[in-house]
Amino acid sequence: VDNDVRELRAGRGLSQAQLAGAVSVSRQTINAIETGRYTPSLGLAIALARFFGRTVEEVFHVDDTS
Amino acid sequence: MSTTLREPLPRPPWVVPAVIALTAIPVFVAFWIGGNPALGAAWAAVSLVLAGAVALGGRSETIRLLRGDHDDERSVALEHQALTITSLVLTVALVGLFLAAALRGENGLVYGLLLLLGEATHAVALGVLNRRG
Repeated sequence: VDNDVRELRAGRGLSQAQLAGAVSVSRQTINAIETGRYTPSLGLAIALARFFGRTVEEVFHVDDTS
Repeated sequence: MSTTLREPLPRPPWVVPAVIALTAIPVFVAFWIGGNPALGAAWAAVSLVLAGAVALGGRSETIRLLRGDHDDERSVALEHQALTITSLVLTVALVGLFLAAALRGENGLVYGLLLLLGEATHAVALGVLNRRG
């Protein structure tokens, strides 16, 4: 699962720690999501999407070819 | 908002080091009663060193996770994966010890019973977790 979290966060001028605080996870979790090392739960994916005012599908992209 | 993994209740950072350190007491007493206090002291020292390392491990995320500081879903997932790897390593070690005992002409009862306990625990846990959904 690919995602646009880094771009969306940077676009708002937020640090990883600030985004982490906004969705109640650790900075390391945001870093792991941005680098594709961790796929968040549905709850966290929705929280991130809501934070950015997007839908989950707009933030997270499933590669259907794989 | 619900998440895939349940997040445990917050745990003070001293609990895990304290539990590790406290294991030094029964270990030393058991070896002492068994007539080998020096070996008991050595094993107790290992527990105390490990407890100290976990308690004073600085800002390392790994040490933080070892302390049981699971503050979000990823740390819970990491803990589950680490426990899976740990149980796999222990199972392989037990199978190896069981086979080695058999090759030495011993019955390997302790290793066999531990393997059965592991299998039974795994089966019961799967059944309970499956029913809970």
